[in-house]
Amino acid sequence: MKGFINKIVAGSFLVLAVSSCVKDENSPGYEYMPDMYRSPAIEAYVDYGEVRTWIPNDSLKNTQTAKLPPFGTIPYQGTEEVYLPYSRKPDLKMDETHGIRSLEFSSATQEEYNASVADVSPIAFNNENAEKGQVLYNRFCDHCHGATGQGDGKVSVASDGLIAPPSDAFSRPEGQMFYVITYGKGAMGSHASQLNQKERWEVVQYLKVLNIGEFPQEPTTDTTENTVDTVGVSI
Amino acid sequence: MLASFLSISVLFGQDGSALFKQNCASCHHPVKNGTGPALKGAKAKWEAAGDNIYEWVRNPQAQYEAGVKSALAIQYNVGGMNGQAVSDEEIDAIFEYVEAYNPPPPPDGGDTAGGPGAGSDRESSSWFWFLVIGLILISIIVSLWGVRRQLKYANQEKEGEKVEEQDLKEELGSWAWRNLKLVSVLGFIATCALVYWLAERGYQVGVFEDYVPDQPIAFNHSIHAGDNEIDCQYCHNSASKSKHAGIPTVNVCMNCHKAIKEGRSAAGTAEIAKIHEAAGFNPETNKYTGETEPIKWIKAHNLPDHVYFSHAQHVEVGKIECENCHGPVKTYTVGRTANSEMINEMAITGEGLRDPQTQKSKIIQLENQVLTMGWCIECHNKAEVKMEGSEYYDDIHERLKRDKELYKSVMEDGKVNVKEFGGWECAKCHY
Repeated sequence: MKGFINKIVAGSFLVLAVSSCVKDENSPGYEYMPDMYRSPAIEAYVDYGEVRTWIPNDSLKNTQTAKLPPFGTIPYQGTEEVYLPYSRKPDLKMDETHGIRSLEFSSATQEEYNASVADVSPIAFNNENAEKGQVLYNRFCDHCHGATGQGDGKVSVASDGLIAPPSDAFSRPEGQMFYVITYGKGAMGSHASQLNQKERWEVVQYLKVLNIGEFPQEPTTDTTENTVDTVGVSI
Repeated sequence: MLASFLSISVLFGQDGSALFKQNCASCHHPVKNGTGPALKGAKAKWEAAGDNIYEWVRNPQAQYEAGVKSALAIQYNVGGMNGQAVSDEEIDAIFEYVEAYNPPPPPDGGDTAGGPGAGSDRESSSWFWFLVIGLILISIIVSLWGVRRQLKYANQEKEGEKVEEQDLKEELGSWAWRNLKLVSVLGFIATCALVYWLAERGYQVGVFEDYVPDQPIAFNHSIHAGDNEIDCQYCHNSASKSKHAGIPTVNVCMNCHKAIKEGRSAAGTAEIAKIHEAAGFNPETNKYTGETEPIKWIKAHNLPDHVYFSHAQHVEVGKIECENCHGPVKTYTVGRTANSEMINEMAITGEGLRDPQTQKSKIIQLENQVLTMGWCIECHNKAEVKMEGSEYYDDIHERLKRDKELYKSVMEDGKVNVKEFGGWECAKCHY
């Protein structure tokens, strides 16, 4: 009887040992009825040339993950935030220095950058917007610019001061800070793909808070009526 | 005398370092070409040519227009520099710092990924050897049996007995009758093993735990999100706006890697070079060439088409921590799907994931396997909805307060679950 139990135990261990070493980390696992798992409608990040149970179709195969939406695509939510007008052009040669493409460039070096000093924020400088900006700042800026904007973020420190941002960066006029977030400057790249226009203005409001050292005492609403140009590129 | 000289130079060195950081470092590096050229030796070059570098630093445009030889000789990123408000003494201090600069030694350890797929290679090869050894053993057994049979027949023939030639099937049958006990035990074990195997495989259908696909670039989460504390949403920025968390486009990588061209090891530097290739960026000249090459990342988290999951709902409204579903991402060397044990361990050990006031872990411990429906459902039952300060729940909160009966039944356990306002309705996710 004892031998009998031993055999069962030994047998189960053998099965365990064999089945545990078949796990292939490159295989996502088994699917039951993959035709219900895989969407026939186009989904982001799915390669329709390789969808299982379909006949492999080389003409559908992607070579990339992220794709630009088709020309003329309109976001289905938040359009009023995306289409705040902005007419400033990227600086001359930014195609070489910042990889910006398919946009019209300014005609002379720094022309639009210097002119952006006059731009006024279309959203109010108040606590609500500055606090939204603070959340975005901690998400998108502080690893380089540091929590207080001194240019002492973890990335700047770790990279041997190579891309240390100037600590007085936030004393610029708000229009110019918006321009820099939109198109980049020096070592900083364009953040227009990560932040929409409204979010960029919110970040600018928080940069002003960092510069003066405190949140606005009372909400100022008079700037809401100021808008920039009505015709402009939206990126 | 010597001491005072030293102290002055140290003073100058410190001053120069701060001034350099303040005024120059966003474009220049002492020994590396960045947005602007490396600065080491620049002052000596200008002085040798008999030109005034101080005026150049303060107003480069004027120097161009005046046709200063050294200004026109600059070939690197022509016309890119702005005038800087610095005095002659400050410029001297900056150049003293620049000339004295020595690059720091590279930090030890902290390699990028330990070679993509190193683990899976080893495992698949051990499986192969099991198979080979098994086949060899079976062929030895079969051939020994054949030899034994032939010997038996030869022996019977020699003794003059009547040779009863049995075919393989008959002989197996008679052997099984003679060893009935052994055969039944073996049969029982084999049946158990088969049932176990099938059940185990059955439970793995549609389970995507521990999926660690090889990626085109061995991106290391532990360096970016762990050591450098870059927010998850810096790269996966659509998590707060869209159904998908988003795979970052190459321009997001280039926001840092335009300047950071060297990894912590040779392997890391090679991976960064792949980003430069994809972005169409020449690290030598620091310019974009326009010849971009797409990257094809492999998506690790796949949900079936018949279920709808939105990151925006969970991240923005639910305020669920990324780690609650994705595990200790800040320690991953390769992107992967987590497993429940890893996540539950984080609930106990994860230091940065505690409520600052109550010291209670924000991670909800779940028993089911990651990315299964049981897992979703379990969390919708356990997770508490934080209604305060969230405008998304204003309406439902008002209604709840009006209906006393409902309020009582919902608040029986002292909290509001996702389940209690429709988190368990089929059509909540399947539509």
